[in-house]
Amino acid sequence: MVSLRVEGLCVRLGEFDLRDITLAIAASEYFCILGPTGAGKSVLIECIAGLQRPDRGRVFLGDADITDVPPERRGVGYVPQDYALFPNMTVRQNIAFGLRVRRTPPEVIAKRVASLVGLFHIEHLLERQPLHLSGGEKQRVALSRALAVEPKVLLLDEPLAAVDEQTRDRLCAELHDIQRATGVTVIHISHNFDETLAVADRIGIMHAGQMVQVGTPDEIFSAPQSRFVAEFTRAENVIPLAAPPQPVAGARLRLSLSTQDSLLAAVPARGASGWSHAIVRPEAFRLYPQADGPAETPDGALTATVTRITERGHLLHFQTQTDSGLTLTALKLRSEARAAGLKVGDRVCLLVSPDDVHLL
Amino acid sequence: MTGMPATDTAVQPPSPSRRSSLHEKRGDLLFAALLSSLLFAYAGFILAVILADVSWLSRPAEVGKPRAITAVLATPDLFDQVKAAFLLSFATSFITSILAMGVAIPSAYALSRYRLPFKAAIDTIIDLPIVIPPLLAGISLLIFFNQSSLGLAVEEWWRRNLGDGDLGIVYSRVGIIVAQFFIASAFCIRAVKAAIDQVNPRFEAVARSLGCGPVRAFWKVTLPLARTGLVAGWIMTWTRAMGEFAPIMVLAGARFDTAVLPVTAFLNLSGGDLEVSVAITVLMILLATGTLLLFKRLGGKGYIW
Repeated sequence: MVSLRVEGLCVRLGEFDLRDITLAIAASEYFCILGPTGAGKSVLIECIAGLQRPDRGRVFLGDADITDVPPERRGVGYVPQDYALFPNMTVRQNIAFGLRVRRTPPEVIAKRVASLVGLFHIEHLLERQPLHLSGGEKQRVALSRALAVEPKVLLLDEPLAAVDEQTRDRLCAELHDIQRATGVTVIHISHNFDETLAVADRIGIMHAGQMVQVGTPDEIFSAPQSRFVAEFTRAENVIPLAAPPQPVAGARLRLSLSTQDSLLAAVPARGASGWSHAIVRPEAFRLYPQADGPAETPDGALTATVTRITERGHLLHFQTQTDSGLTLTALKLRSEARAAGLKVGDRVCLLVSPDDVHLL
Repeated sequence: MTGMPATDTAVQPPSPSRRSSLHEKRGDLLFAALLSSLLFAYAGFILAVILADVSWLSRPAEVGKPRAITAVLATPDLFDQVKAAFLLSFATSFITSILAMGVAIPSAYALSRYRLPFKAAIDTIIDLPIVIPPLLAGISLLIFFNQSSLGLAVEEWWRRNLGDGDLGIVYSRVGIIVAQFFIASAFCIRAVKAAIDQVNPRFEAVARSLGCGPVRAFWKVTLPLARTGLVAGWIMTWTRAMGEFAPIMVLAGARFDTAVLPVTAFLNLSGGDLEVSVAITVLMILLATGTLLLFKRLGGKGYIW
């Protein structure tokens, strides 16, 4: 398997501008490109597939510069968002298409198709027309068709956008397993953070034509490097600091968020300075009724009033406001919230471990 | 339950009273009836005009004479005239439609898929033959082949190499095809472009990634997927070419050997022989109706007028 490298890629398409994208993806890596609609994700993979010509920059597959190689000779598989199954062919003909184009002997094609449909459990669909398949079935056929020609890199444009939520979870697991089984390098585009967390070895986040952060799901999740990434990954509490952080005992920093509210944060390993924001994910806050808490509010805890409660399945999402007007959000298990009898207007404490406070 | 958020009560729009809704319904109906009655009236007008041809053809032109249709069918001279015109029309318009498709498929594909320089200007230019009055298109063609140096060169070359030594394009049967082609190709490009536009370019993108070169991706994926639309466009172009009159009259002349169906109808009309004119009219209306039905059946789109 081969690595993929993109260097200084720029594309200008009317109003849209892909700016100086540099990216290195390891062989057999499952790489997700995450970003809102219009971030330039599709244009980027179209450049990698050879369907779009970049204005500047190079694309390398292993050591070979493939920037000027036509798409049919790149060895890059492409599965578009709507799957683009050929409607005038059966599922079998669709999967065999690339092999027939290569004039592969019929017995080899038959064997290859059989092994692929076995891998995706779609034997029963072989003679069907694509028009009547469900979203999940179409996706499996499209993947089989792309994998049939054994691409070095597989590009998936929003592969799970057209399937319902239950199917999505199952397909995420399946995509991951198949990538491991075949060892193909995968680039998967998505605008859904949860989906990328489930499958990715690494995630690259795009915003307005730029790659704003690349890292493992854990790095992206716990250490967003910009306000955009924090908000896009639903960190929710991105709080401006009222004053520069003050070092206190135990390698901690005291962060004043307003005249009355302050938090304790661990000193970041990469000791920069000039921080302007504290980021706390809503699930990192421990929220409990003020009366039930430790007799005295512990150092670094915030007191607030519940202003809104929103249902999120087994979790409840609490919006609270401190006395100085700071809005903070927290998640709590439905069962716990029920036991504590929390309701709008209650006084609550919000406590966060200093290790879960990220500085920006 | 305590602690659970209270759901906001949705603001209900005031329910309209029964009377006002009835009133509105009557107003809507009246309005709809007014608009559609004009639509029906116009469709009726078209049908009445066509039926007038048919009924005229099925009764004697003068008392004591045979029915008009019988007159045409039973008089060898008249019948042969219509038959010759039909065969000439059929053959020339068939050739024109093939040539037009040959030009239209690549042109429409380029228009549909590529970011071309001067695309807007080219798009407008290829629509010109549709909007120029047909007679003036014929005059322009005549001026081109008879007066411009480029046109004269083409005319001369054709007469020497492909013509019968005497005639070139002007006043010959080739002129019929040139006149038809000049106008029909514009329609053809529109119809073919509509068919190609309907094929998602992603199909080609996938075919490319699966190993097809650009020609093969077009041939194996786009063309089969656009097939019905292409057939519809081809048939419509053929019919359009068959109905062309004024430019043929001007460029190819109104001679016995270049008289296509509409020209024959016109010549007979001006000579006072209504029977042949109306017989040709009815024949062409039938052909046009059949084609239109086929075109719609095949899901054809684009300009058909």
